[in-house]
Amino acid sequence: MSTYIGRRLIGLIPLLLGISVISYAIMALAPGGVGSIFTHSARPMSAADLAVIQHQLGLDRPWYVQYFYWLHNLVVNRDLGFSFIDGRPVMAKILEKIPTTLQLISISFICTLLIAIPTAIYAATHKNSVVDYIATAVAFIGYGMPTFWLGIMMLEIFAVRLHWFPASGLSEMGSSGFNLGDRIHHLVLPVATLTFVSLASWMRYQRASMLDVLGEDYIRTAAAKGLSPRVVVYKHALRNALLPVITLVGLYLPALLTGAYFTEIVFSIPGMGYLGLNAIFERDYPTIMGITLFSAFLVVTGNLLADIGYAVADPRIRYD
Amino acid sequence: MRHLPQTAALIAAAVLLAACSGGGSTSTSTAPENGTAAAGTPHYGGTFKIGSTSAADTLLPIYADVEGAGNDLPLAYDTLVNVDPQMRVIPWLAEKWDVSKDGLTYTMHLRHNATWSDGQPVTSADVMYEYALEMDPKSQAVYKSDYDVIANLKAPDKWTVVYTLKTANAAFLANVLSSVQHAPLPAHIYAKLPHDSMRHLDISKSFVGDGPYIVTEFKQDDHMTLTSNKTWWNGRPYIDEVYIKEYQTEQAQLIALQDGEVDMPYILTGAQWQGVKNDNRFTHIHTYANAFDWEIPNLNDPIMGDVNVRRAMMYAWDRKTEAAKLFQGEDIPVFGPISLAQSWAFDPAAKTAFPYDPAKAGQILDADGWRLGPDGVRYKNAQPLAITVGLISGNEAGAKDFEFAQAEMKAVGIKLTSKQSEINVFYQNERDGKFQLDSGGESLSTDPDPTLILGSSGIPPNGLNYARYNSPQMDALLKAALETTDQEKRRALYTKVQELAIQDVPYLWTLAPYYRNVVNARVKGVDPAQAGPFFSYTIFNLPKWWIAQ
Repeated sequence: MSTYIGRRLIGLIPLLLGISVISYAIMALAPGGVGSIFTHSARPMSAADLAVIQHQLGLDRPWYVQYFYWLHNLVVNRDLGFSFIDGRPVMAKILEKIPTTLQLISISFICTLLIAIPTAIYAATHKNSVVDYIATAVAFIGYGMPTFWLGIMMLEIFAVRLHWFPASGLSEMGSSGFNLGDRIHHLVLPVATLTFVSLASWMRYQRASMLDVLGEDYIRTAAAKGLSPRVVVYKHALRNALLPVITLVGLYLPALLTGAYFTEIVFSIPGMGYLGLNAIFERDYPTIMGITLFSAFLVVTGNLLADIGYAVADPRIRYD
Repeated sequence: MRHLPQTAALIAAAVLLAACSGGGSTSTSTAPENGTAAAGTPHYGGTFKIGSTSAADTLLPIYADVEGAGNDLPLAYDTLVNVDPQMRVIPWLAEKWDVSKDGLTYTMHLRHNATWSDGQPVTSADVMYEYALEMDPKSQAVYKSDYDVIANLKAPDKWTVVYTLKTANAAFLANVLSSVQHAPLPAHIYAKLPHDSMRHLDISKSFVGDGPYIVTEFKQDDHMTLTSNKTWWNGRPYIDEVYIKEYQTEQAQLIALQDGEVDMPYILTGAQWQGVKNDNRFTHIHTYANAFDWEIPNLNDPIMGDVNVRRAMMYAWDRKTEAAKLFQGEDIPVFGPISLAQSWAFDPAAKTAFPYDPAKAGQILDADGWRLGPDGVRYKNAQPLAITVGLISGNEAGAKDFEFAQAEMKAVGIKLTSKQSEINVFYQNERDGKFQLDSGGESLSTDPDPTLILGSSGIPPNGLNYARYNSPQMDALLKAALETTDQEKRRALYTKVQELAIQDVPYLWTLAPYYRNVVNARVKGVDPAQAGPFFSYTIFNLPKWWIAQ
């Protein structure tokens, strides 16, 4: 196993390198250019001043040379550079925002599992029942909804019309310090949004996996020898039915991350999503690259952990 | 048609509204509801909450952009002169100034009672330091080119600075010295730092300013907290704290306003204004914006370079109906380069120059050789009168406006098609001259001088003259208007500028928008008649506002 993990970790390096090259090329070759951020306001920067700044930022070089300097700085100095917009270190900007995004993702993920797994078990053990049909319908409605649209609807109904929850942010405006109750109150709508759109995948996977397991001989044997249905389902079936779902963790991380970015924008939560969106609009190359790299790292690490988890959970899996 | 994006906030491709904004003089206003404006006795205390979709990225004004930090930082930094809501230049850190007869030398006398928030006096050394910092390319100051008009700056004593200009420039005080981007900086703190380190300097934990408020907390992309400067030279502000909250969408900002979470947004779009304009929980501000909407023709294009085509389009465009259908009947047709907010220089003839007259448009095109073809499109030498209009992608208002214009032009045989581009690509194409006709809006500078958009010196890459309009006659008028400080003479010259612009139609001016905003009625002392045509002018009087008990 350790050999496998070592191989996978080494494999991450060319993967991340490839992602960074492709991302940089797409970003730098996109028409428009960085100069736009300095010149399209009501008071444009003069051409001479713009040329000086572009030279200082290295933007007068071909994209692959820019990329090389960016990579060199990352590898040698472990530095993601400075934002073109505000001159702050990109690393500091990302580290400032990432806890917010991780908080949103992890709470939504936990909520998704807490709702999806029991519902899926019930739906599987009561196949074709009313509850099964309702759960399936609700899951697919959520699956078909764009995250940002659902977020806007949540805002409109629960914040604007009913005033049950705040419309934006993570804390009461002007409040100082951390208040758990206030934070939960602010997180309800964004977490509900992200959870609702995630439910379908988990419920469907878990239900299908559970149905497969419930048809196995050892389940029939367990029931035949007189074990209670509760023990059969929760002790014998569920543990085995959870195995395929572990792979979903890795596969689902990109979607969860993207969903979190949109959710942050709808609910004005200052996380990675807002940072990334602004960076893209303003062609802030170092910040875009930093976020891309962080996101890619999270996703590939998620995949790796899923594979390892699968091996740990299922003794039949051997990677050596 | 309008685009002028006020903010980049966007939710995927579904939600993006562009807003027009600008600065200018108060022209009209509504009375405050429930007599809220001046009720009660001023007292100290409370928090004033501002909602923003474009808050500051930086606390150093030399890096402030126009719409973000440019809005917030005037609360924290004072400039040598200021511009009141009527867009008049008034003494500020400089309590008086002398201008030499040739208009080349400005001697600014600093007030002696202005201090930085750490107690040090604001002196000529701070002005000199800021100038030197900006002029050094290593600093990467964004608006350094504003200082191109200055030949040299000297400080003969602690309280005097003398600017010598390269050529006389009547807009110098209003456009350069009143800009927060050029506000003096505390030399006693920053002078020891290398200029190339300033871009990366984090001053959020150790902020020192000289404005009515002091930044006490700054969390980028989230909020900024400012506390009143108890020793401000113009008197302690009544409101103790200003909290600026950043929202990522205009919708979230509006919800916060309606819920009472914020007292005032930076700006309201036309549609948002409709929702609150009769709400008596607010004091309403409704003035001419220092801005206009226009179509930018590329005069190097064979079709758009034909002045008769441009004139015909001006007559064929029913702007009153456009304003009624698309802009709640509020925006006003204006056909010149000076906004209604710049009232002293505005020529009323610019409001009536091009009445809606499609028949006349047809006659002009006929006389110019554009004959109507069987497909309803005009042709000249087998070339169709077909124009591609550039739009910023995702701008719903611009797209609707295009549809309106398309129908109007079709009626006189002009075929309009649209081409949407991502915002950075759109501006790049304008700079490179790779467009035929672009839909846009423009915020104007405080002084009415339109050299940037009409002068040959403003042709890209050095200005905003994207039309590439090049008229020696216009250049001479603009130069003469800048070289005299006599306002009456300038007014007469700008009347000629507007007449020439109406004759040459270098741009297709369409409508002038209003600046609309509201302030929660719990905030007292807000006089809409004293509110300026943009956020930064409106909060000019904020130190004199107070919160109801």
